[in-house]
Amino acid sequence: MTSLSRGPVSWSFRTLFCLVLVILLVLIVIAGRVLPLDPFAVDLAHIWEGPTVAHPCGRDGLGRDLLARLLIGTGTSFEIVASALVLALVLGVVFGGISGWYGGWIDALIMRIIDFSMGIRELVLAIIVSIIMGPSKATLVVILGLGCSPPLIRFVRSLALVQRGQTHVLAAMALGASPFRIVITHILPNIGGSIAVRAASIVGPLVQTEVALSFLGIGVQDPAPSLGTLVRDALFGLQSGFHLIVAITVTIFLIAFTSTLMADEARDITDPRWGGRSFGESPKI
Amino acid sequence: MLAMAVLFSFVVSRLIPGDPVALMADGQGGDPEFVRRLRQAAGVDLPVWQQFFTYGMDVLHGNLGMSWRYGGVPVATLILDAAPITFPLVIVTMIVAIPLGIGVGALSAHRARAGFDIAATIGAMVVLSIPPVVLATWLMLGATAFFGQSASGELASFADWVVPITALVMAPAALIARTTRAQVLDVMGQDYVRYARAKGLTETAIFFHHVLPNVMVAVWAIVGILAGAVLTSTAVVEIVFDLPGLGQLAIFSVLSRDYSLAGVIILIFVVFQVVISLICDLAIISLDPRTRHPQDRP
Repeated sequence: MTSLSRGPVSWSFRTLFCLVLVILLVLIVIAGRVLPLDPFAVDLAHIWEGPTVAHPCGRDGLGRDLLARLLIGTGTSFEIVASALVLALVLGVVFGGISGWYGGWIDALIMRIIDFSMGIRELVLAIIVSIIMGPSKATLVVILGLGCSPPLIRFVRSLALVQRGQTHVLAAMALGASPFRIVITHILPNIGGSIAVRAASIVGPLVQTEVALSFLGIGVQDPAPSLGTLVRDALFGLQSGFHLIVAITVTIFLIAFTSTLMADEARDITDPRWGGRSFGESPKI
Repeated sequence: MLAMAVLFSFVVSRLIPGDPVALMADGQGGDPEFVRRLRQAAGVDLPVWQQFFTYGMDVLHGNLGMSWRYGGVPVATLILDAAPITFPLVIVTMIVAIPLGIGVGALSAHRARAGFDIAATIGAMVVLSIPPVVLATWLMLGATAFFGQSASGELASFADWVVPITALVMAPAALIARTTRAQVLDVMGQDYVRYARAKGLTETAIFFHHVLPNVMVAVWAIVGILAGAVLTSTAVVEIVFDLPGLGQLAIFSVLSRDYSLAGVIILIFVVFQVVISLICDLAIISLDPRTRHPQDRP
């Protein structure tokens, strides 16, 4: 735990464990793409079949192979979370950067909008976006991306504010560099690491929100599998197919656990102040 | 803030593509005269600013309009049926989660890295890695196995409450416990705690007078954020246990594009969030003199 005193990257047990899990997840996502799996092949002769050699995770209520659905569904969920993260990062860097760099009325305006949008959280945002856009994958990306961007904007703003006062930035200004050039070559390289660590810490919550919203029917629509819709299938088949809920719980647990561990690891490597702390504590804004 | 919420829910309910009147008149034939009269009854033939004024006045008078999907049932009736399920769930969850989280967090900080601390850390890790949907499903399975009862779709007896509340409490309690643990360890290292100890105060007195209030400031700060998450998990838990609450109603209104209903539910949720934030801010102000205006400071 206190491995940080020995250097920025030390191969503690936790780091290794984390790496193994990340590789496993990457393999899952690649397997979903590469293997010739058919998550839609209905086989009504074998509904609710338990695990067999040909179908290691069993089959669901329509006789579809659960392993195929899990692999493809995990891939879909990752796609959604990754797109949402990109959306949030773009919003965060652009608005946080503008707010922190220019200050003044534009900063005040952006901050008031952020204050207001902090009051519109998850479910409310989900309802609003999904009645405007209709339930779909894109809706889910917008909900998740917008939902996690306000804290990110604030975070980037505070970083940009600090950077603006640094001497190398003042020097660049004195040399007559354009704001755009200063931001790209002098500020972003300095704050990129902190932003990446913060982004890593919201992957876990994003996956969980994706599961909740897809479960509620706002995200990915049947018959396409995603983690949330698979939970829904498992819940409604609870009486007949117990293996469904077991398989999906293990998958989701693995993903959420890995993302939290990964975020902690990234934070510890970049920020020694957190070295001795353990799981799941993120500095609050 | 509240006025903004009303404006917001109005704008959202008018932004949505599609004509509600066309939706209602569907199946009644395309009689233009009938459609015109429906439009008049719904008040959507007036200019938009006039509509907003009427909407604002209606909301203030407690007239929330008709549901476009439930064949003209007043929205207020639907809401009043559902709210007594959702809000007690959310409030009881918070009331249980806050002391539980603080208790567990303080105990694990008391002997950091000892048996209880490690157990609590692993527990929090597991709880935070399982989404409430999955947790609720397993709890329902467990309850069915142990008590032989299945989710009945109502909250009649005490036992009906225990399982959904347990599902809801876990995640916020774990997060509060982690925060409390980190804060207690942090505060325990402060100079004023050392002086209090040098003064001869007992550990209990130090904890309740010097440590707890400082820890509570951080806890209240995350309670405001947690309330939104609890609302989402309540919607999920309502679906898992088949409880006809606001979350279920909200999802139904979204999927069936009933936006008079969705608008009101958004309004209620935003007001709820504002009230929770207000309570948290007031609690922080009462605990931390530094957050007060200069003239109010002791």
